[in-house]
Amino acid sequence: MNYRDFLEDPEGNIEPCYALAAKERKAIARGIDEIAAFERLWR
Amino acid sequence: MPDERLPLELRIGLRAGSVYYFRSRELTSERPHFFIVVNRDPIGSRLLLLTIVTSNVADARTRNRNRLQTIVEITPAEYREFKVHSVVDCNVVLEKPLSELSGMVRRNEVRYHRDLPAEIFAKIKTAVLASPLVPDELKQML
Repeated sequence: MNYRDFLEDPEGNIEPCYALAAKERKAIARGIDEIAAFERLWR
Repeated sequence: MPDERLPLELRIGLRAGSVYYFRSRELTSERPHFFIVVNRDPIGSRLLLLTIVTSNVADARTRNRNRLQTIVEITPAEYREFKVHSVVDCNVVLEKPLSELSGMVRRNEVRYHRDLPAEIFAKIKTAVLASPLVPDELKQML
């Protein structure tokens, strides 16, 4: 499972239940990437 | 009773507040280099609860702008093992078996660093306890 998928807005005319600003979206994505990088190093 | 199979540096040094550094050559500035043990009895429980140290301070502030009490910023002046202004996002607590760290120490993949000063560790503990994302069963292990 790629947690970054949860950052994508729903397709079509569905309103997202929680609107993310671009800055927030990038910060969360980088946080997910950091955890993934940690997991890769740990193995 | 200490486990004789643990490497000596873990038997004598592993505790809440222990800091480790990945020696991997894959490291880049975007990747976390340090991690901190936060649970109070990692040897007895055979389990590690870890927080990750990163230099992306602005991102951590942005992600947690509504819960800034859950991040802990650490400057090189406060803890000289960190060469840059760093941050611990205490909403992220990872569980790892002690045996895995033991293997990494034996393979020389991680390096032990001076323990965090008690006042910084206390801030991290407080921030983890304040997190709405960390499960209570993990908080009870601090």
